[in-house]
Amino acid sequence: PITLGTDTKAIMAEIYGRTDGLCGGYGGSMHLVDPERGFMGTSGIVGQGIPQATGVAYAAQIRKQGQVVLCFFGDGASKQGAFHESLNLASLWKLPIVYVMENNNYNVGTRSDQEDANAAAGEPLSVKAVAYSMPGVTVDGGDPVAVYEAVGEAVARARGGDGPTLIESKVYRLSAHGNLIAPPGVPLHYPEHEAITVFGNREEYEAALRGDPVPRFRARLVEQGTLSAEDADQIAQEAKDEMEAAVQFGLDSPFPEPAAATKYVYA
Amino acid sequence: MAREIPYIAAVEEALHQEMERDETVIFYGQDVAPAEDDKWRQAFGNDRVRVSPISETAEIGMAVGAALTGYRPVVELLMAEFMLVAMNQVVNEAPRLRYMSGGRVKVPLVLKAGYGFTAGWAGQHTGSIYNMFCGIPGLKIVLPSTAADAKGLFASAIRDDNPVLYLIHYLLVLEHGEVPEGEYLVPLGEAAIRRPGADITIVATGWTVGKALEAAEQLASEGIDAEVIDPRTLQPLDIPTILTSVEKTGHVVLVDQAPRHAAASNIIAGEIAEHGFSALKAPIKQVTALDATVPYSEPMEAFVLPDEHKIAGAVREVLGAASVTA
Repeated sequence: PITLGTDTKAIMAEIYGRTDGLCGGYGGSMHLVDPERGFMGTSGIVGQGIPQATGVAYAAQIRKQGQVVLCFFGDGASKQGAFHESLNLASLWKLPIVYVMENNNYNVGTRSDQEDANAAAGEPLSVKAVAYSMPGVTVDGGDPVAVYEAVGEAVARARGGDGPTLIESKVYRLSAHGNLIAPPGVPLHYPEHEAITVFGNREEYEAALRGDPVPRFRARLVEQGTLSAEDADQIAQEAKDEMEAAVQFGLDSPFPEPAAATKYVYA
Repeated sequence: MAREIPYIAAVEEALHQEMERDETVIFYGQDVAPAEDDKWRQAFGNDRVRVSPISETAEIGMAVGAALTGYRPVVELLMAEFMLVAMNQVVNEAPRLRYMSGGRVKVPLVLKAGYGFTAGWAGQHTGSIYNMFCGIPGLKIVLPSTAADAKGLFASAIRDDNPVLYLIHYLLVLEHGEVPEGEYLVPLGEAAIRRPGADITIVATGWTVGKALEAAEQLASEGIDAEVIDPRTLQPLDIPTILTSVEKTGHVVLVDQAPRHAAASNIIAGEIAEHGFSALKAPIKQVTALDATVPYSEPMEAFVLPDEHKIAGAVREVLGAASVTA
């Protein structure tokens, strides 16, 4: 939602359960939604947002205004029936949607090759697209330019009426599952990344850390002369300042009145 | 101007009229309009009427998505049980999204399905499973028992801004009834008093409303004047109309086609016990299906289900019972 212009202060206030939150404290971190900016929501149940995004694409198709839906989910969600039912229908109806699967190789603490037939066979997960007669593309999710190009092509295809694309974006998760969003005091699933705590593979994790996409892309832009080191520092500082202001805004915002809990049950 | 048409024709008339009135109403489902010259496709085009694969999670999830962006989908699910494979979308997505967004979105959709088809369809296509959806805040549940209500409640369900389960009763589809022509709306959340009476309150749902009326006729010949109430919607549930009747009669029989421990009558009994206890002159009695899967063979099927004789028997028992001591 940040890309679409959603106020980071409202996002952080929502995560803190405050009245100035994006959803007034009714949804929290798992259920952010900002329909005015085209961010249609998130489900807390794995894979269940995929058919909803597909329905948004059906609406876009019959509204005929050239809108295209980007639907994000993890590699684990591609084992849900919701994923398969949706891809079949989207391809059948040539819906304007791009399915972006972020493959970080772990379902919480289970490796993909332990739960995915394609992964176990050494194939990219994008091969799942073949079953639904749509293009399947695997990209380095840590390379924003590669992602931009792959998604751009898929969006053009969708907008042109040729239907959906499945993009597998491979990018490592540099934190253990849920640790980044766990408030102080909440017990962590794992103190360190699952590669270390479950599989004892510190080298895998450290290699991923060395490949952190943010410094990698920064170095590339500076090397190419697209961005000066000073400008890059300034962008990083601005982002940090914005996040700190958002956290402070969230902490300063009042909690909702308890009795507001019965509002919005019905429209 | 009203005329006699079958319940199922009233259902179709409501959908047709709402699709004519509002072009954001879309209609799809399994086996809906597969033929090019299908009347629905001819009338409303391939954008608004589609046949979908046997994919309930996708069908219902897509309805949620289309509803979020301004459409009013009506999903044909054929059998209520087919929702069970998509329970997360029905229970945990559609009714919660408006709430979790703090009122920023709305999800106007109708899940249309038949239920209660106890006509030799055995255990998996005959259930009265609406009870599973009671107590899901954000969801509405509609059970039309007459042709007129089938039309008026459907039109209201389509215009409602919430997800609505519109459950037609498959044993009623060929029953004829007086149905108004043109625009006809029955509000969601208003019970109907099908037969006024002074001696006992019978609250019945769906197909059992007719059974309760048959029982009331039989009882009238014995000098018992029964009032029959049809809640018409289980969510919202019109408790005040039921309590007013209980205040008047002091006696209650609750009828539902669901198994005893999963019946809508459980909820109604709880409300009466809490809010109408002082008016009761005898204990409440429930007439429901037995706690069994609906059997295939006809005599066993009939044994499991409530009927007019069981209802009349329950009424006599309640009226003959000792007074409740508070």
